[in-house]
Amino acid sequence: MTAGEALKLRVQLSKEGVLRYLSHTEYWRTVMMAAKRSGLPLVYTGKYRSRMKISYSPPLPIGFTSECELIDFFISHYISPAEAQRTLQLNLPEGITVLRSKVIGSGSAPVGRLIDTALYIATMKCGHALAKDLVSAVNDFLNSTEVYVRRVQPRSVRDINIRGGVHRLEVAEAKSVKECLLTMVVDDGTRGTIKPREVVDYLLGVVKADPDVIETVRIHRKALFQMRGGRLISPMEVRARSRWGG
Amino acid sequence: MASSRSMAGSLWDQIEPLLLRVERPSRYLGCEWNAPKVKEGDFRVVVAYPDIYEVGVSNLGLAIIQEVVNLLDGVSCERVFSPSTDMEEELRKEKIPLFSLESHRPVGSCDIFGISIPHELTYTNILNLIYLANLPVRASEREDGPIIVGGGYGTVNPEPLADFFDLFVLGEAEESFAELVELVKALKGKKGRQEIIEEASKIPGIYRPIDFEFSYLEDGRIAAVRFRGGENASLKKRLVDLDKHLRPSRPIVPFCEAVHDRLNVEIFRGCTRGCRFCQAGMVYRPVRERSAHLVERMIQEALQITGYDEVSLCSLSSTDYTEIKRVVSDLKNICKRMQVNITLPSLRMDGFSVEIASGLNAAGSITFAPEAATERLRRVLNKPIGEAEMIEAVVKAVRHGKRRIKLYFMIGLPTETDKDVSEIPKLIFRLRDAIRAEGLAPPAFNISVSSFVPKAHTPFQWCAQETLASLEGKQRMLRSALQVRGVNLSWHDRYMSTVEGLLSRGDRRLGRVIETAWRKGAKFDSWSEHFRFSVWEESCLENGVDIEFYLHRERDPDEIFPWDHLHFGPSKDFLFREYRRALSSELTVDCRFGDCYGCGACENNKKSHLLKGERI
Ligand code: SF4
Repeated sequence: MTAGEALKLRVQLSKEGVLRYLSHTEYWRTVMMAAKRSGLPLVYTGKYRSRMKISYSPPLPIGFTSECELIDFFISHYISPAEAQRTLQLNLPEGITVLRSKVIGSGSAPVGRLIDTALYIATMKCGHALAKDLVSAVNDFLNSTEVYVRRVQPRSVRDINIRGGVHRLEVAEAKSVKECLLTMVVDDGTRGTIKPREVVDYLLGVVKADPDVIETVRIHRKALFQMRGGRLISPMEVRARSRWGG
Repeated sequence: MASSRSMAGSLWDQIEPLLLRVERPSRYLGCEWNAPKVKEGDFRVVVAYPDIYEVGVSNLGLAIIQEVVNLLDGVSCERVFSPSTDMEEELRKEKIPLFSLESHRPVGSCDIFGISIPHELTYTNILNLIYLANLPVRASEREDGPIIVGGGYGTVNPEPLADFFDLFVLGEAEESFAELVELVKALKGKKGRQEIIEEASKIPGIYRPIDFEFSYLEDGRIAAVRFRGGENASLKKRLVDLDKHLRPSRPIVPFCEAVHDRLNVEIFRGCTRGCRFCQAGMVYRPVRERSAHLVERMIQEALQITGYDEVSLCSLSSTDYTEIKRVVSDLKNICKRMQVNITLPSLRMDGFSVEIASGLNAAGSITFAPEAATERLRRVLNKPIGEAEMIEAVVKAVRHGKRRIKLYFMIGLPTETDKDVSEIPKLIFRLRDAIRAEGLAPPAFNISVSSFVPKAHTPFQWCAQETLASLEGKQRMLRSALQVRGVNLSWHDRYMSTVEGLLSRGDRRLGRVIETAWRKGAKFDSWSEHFRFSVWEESCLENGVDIEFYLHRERDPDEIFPWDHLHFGPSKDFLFREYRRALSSELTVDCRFGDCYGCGACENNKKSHLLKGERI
């Protein structure tokens, strides 16, 4: 591989509107086909069948929105990130917006091997009393060393301790719109994955929330990071430190 | 996108909460890349494919028709597919009617509801679509609502579905369906529903089933078919010139992986190789090729606006295309530059086809359909591939790096003996030995065996279908003979073939059977996890229909068939001649490059193939 082939175009995209109902595979297939239409200088690999060489961020569950879906396109030569962003956007359906893009030189790990942490925001309709209960449920959660949730899958039922994978958890009340915002920083990627929905459901279970509250839960992935020495580094700005860092 | 969801009548707000309760919500979103924008207030057509999204969205016919109709002034054409069973349950629970994908408005409120009829095992899904649209399933009970039009391959014998459709489009629908839409649009609000249907039935290629009445003999055979009024000249399939219809020009790109997840471009329609079991080969005659430069232009343009990484050159027999060498060599360069793979489905089993196909992608697998293992039986079928050719094909394929060879066979063929069946494993072993003798490592053989179903408008329409017991014996024999390493054997469910056989040569009396089976819960009959043969048996019993009569009876030469009044090209005389020739293993050569033998498909038997190159 020549030095040029190791170049990567790192793109940060959103997932919004009705496209939040796309699965992980469907979402990336849509982005990759858009990249192909846009004529980017993509690199292909494969002995029998050529495949686009890419690396992308950890899966986002169906129904979640996001402003930090990340993909590395391996490119054969340098292209201005602004131009790449413009042409890619023209070929993407409504619901996927290119937020940022950057050309990464050789030697840096692809995004799929980089990310281990995510910042999620869950919103739900809730009154003041429930919000207060949630604050104490969050405090109890943070003061515990073990929090078990039951994960039911088609062929297994397991009790899993999620506490260790939740690094930050905060609850805020937006009184004017009668909503609660639950912000969490959790393992997501190379270190394993904490399902944000499981954290939310656990807390709503503790406060005995009504099914109509549970129905209103919306989850958004706000940011993805690499945790380095307790600091959260954004894959788009390798040197920048997040407010969650340290 | 946003505008169609907020369009008056859109059910989106009721549908959206269901999406997280069902598998693969993207099936119900619409708004795929290249999906058409629909206009509020337009004359509204909805076209349906009676299977789930991933299957229906791959259907080339539906994509062509949607595009053709959307070009008409003031007309919007939307799609709908069968909701999967989980979504259907939710829709029923929430009392939400079937909705179109583009605007999420109820299908029942459109002006024309066109339903594709791909094959017999989708008939219950067709009834389900009509029912979920909140419309009475029987045409006679529909006083208002959209005109329901059936089209596609299944109209070759639409009689078992006659009770459920207002009209059928016979043959290729690009022109006739567009004419029908224009006419209904012009008459909307000026004439009553029945009058409009009657007017539409006068368009050539449009068939109104209630115009015909059947009477039956005591033994169950048809006594006569009577046209209820005057002369009807329209019951002839329509054909189109592919160079005049470069569609679809903007293929819709599904979010999910479809069953044929590639760009599909037709290179020709029709085939006159004359395989006697093949319905498509009989009813799409004559051969009409698309010009090479137009094929190439379509592919280049469509690749650019879709982003697919594979293109398939579609036809009934790809390497029979007279311009295949030119197209393949031109496309190879274009596709290499665009990082696109080219595939050729439906390959003949000969060295030439393998050369062409192998030049495109080195490894992977290759598929051939020898159909039968003995030369005698292949002559009966009029598919005379010599064993030397077969050996040449597989050796070349392996030499080109193919590690898997898929072979299609049929059992239960006319005149077939146990010896013909026992030759299947022997043939595979001979092919394997021939590969070894060349010093090559034998590939894996995937053997797919289906049960032969005699079809309407073919020389074998007079034949009896093999009984379940006999097929079972033959399958058992193959299973024990092919339990060897490197050979994988798979079947088509023989019970499914029974239902397919019942409906493929069925008449109007089977409408009640289909309806009963559907009311008992039959749907997705081509899916093994949903298919229940017992439901069909019970439905036949309840309606006094004898399966034996339809399946296992050899027809008299002069028997009237339910589809005799529908003209799909080859005449009944020709088909019978071919049947006789089959029984004496006589071959009939391809008329494309030989003499016309007067099958009746060309106007006045004047050879009218549209070939764009010379014989290869
Ligand atoms: S009419 Fe003649 S030329 Fe035309 S398809 Fe039939 S046999 Fe061939």
